[in-house]
Amino acid sequence: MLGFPSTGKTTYIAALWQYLKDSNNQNFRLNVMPEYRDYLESNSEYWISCENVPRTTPENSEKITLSIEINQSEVFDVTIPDVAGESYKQIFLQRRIEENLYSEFSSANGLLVFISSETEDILSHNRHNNIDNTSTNNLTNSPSFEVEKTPTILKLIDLIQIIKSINNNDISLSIIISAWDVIEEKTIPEVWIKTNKPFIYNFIKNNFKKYRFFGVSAQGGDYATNKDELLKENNPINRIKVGYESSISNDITLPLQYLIQ
Amino acid sequence: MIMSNELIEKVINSLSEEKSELFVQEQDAPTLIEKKYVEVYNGDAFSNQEINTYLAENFCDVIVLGGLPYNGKSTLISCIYDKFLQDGEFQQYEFVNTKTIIGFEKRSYLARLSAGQQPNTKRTFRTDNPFLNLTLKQSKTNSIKRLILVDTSGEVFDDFKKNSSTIDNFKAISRANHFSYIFDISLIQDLKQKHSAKSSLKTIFRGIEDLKMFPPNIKIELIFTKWDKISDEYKSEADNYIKSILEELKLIITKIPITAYKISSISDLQKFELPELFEYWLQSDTVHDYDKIITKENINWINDYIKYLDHE
Repeated sequence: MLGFPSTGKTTYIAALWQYLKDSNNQNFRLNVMPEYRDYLESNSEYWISCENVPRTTPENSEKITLSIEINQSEVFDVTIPDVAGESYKQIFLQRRIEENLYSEFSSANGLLVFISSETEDILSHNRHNNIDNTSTNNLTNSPSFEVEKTPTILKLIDLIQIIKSINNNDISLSIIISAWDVIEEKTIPEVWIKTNKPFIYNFIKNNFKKYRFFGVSAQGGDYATNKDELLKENNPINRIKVGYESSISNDITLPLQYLIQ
Repeated sequence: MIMSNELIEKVINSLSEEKSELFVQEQDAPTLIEKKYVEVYNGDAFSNQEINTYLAENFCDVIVLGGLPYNGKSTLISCIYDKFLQDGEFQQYEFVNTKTIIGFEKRSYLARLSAGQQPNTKRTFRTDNPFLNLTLKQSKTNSIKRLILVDTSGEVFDDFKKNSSTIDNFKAISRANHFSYIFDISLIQDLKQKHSAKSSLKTIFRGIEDLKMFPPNIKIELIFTKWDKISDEYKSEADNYIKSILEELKLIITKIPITAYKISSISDLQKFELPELFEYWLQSDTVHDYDKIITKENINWINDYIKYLDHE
C-alpha cells in the first residue's frame, strides 16, 4: 500500500477486514483467520462504530498477511504492509529506504496506490508558507526552496518510480481514489483521474502495462456529517462504496483481486 | 541494563542521523537497533557523473540553455514543466517520467509566486547541477523522446565572456543537439543595456565558435524572452534589433542554422512562440535542413527573415 498521510490506507484495511468476515463473496474469501489479528480487530472496531481509524505511524506500522481463497479453488497468502504515510514522506526527503521495506518493494507483485480525491493546486503560488506575496522582484528576500512542500502527487510519482526501479517483477497497480463518496456517483474513476490529475494519469499509462483505477469510499461517507445515517445501515459492509468503470458496489476486494489475477 | 529516558535520548542525539536511526524496542530492557538503509537516486538535477551514466544508457536529445544571469533560463524550463504538471501533455507530447522532479521543482517554485508579475525565479548558481531529464511520448506515433535540459548558470556564461578557458564549465555543448541562447529583449528599453547585451551575445558565440565547440549537427535558437514587457513604442525597435542580431550572428556562425523565437515572461504558453520552440526541440532530425524549418505551417517573421538570410 502506497500513499501519503490521510489517503485512507488504514481505513481501507479496516473495511477490508470487516468485508472479508461478513460478505458472501465466493470469488475472494478468507480461507482461515490469521492467528494474531489484534491490529485488524481493533481498527475494525473503530470502523464499525464510524469512528476515525487511528492513523498508522512509523512506530506502529504493521504487516498483514491474509490467507485468501480465490474462486473457491486456489489459496494465496496476501501480504499487505501497512506502512505509515509519514515513512513514505521520509523516503522522498531522505532518498533512502529502510532495508526491510526495500526488500518488500523489490519482491512485491502489486501496488495499491492511494490518491486523494481532493484536488491539489500543484501550481499554487502560496504553497511555500513563508513567502511574502507582496514582493515582486525581491530576490534577496526570497525564501529558500523547501523540498518537503513539493506537491503530494509529485512525491507519489517519484515514489512509484523508485519502487519500479527496484522491483524485480512486472509490478501491477491498483490505483485507489479515496473518499469516492464525495465524487458524483456516475463518474468513472479512470476518467476522473485523467481529467483531474493528468500528470499522474499519463505517468501511470506510459510506465506500466497493468493498471486499473478504482474509486473507494471505505467509510461510505463523511463521519462528521453523515455518521447517524451510516450507522443505520444494518450490515456495516454495505456502507462501503467501490467504483470501477461505471459500476458501484461494496466489493472492496476488487483492487486486490486485480493485483492477484 | 536499564537506561533512563534521558540517557536514551542523549545516546540517540549523539549519533548522526545520516548513519543510523535508533529506537527503543522494549519498555524494561531497551535495545538499540541500527536500521540499515538503501540509498535511491536523489531526484535533483543530474551531476556530471550522473549525466554521463544516463547518456551512456539512453539515447537523448540534449538542449543546452545559455545566456547571462536573470535572462530567464530557469523560467523557460519552469513554464514547460508547469504545462506538463497542469495538463500531463504539451504539444501532443505526453509526460512519461523524470528522475529529476526535485530539480524541476527547485526551478519552478519561485516562478509560480508571481504569475502575471515580474517572474523572479531564483537564478541557477555555478554550484547547482544543471542536467534535468524529461521523458515524453509522442501521442500519435507513440515514439519516446528523452530530453536533457541543461540549465547552465548564467554566471558560467558571464565568466566565459571574459575568459575562454572557462569553456570546461559548459562542455555539455559539445554533446548538444540544440543550443538555445536566452536573451532578455526587454533590456532594449535601456540604451546602455541594449548595446551591452548584444555585445555579450556576440562575444559568447564567437568564443564558442573559435574553440570549435559546436558539434556538427547542432541547431541554434535565439530565444527572446519577456516580449510582453516591451511597451508598444519599442515593439518596432525590438523587431529591428532582433534582425540586426541575426545578421551579425550569421557573420560569426556561418554553418549552423539559427532560428529565433519570441516568448513571454509569464507562464502563458499559448502566448508567443513557446509551443513552436518546444516542437522544434523535439523534431527528430538533427541534421541541418533549412527547408524543413522554413516550411513550418506556423512560420513567423523571424524564420522568414532567416530564410531571406540563408538565400542571400
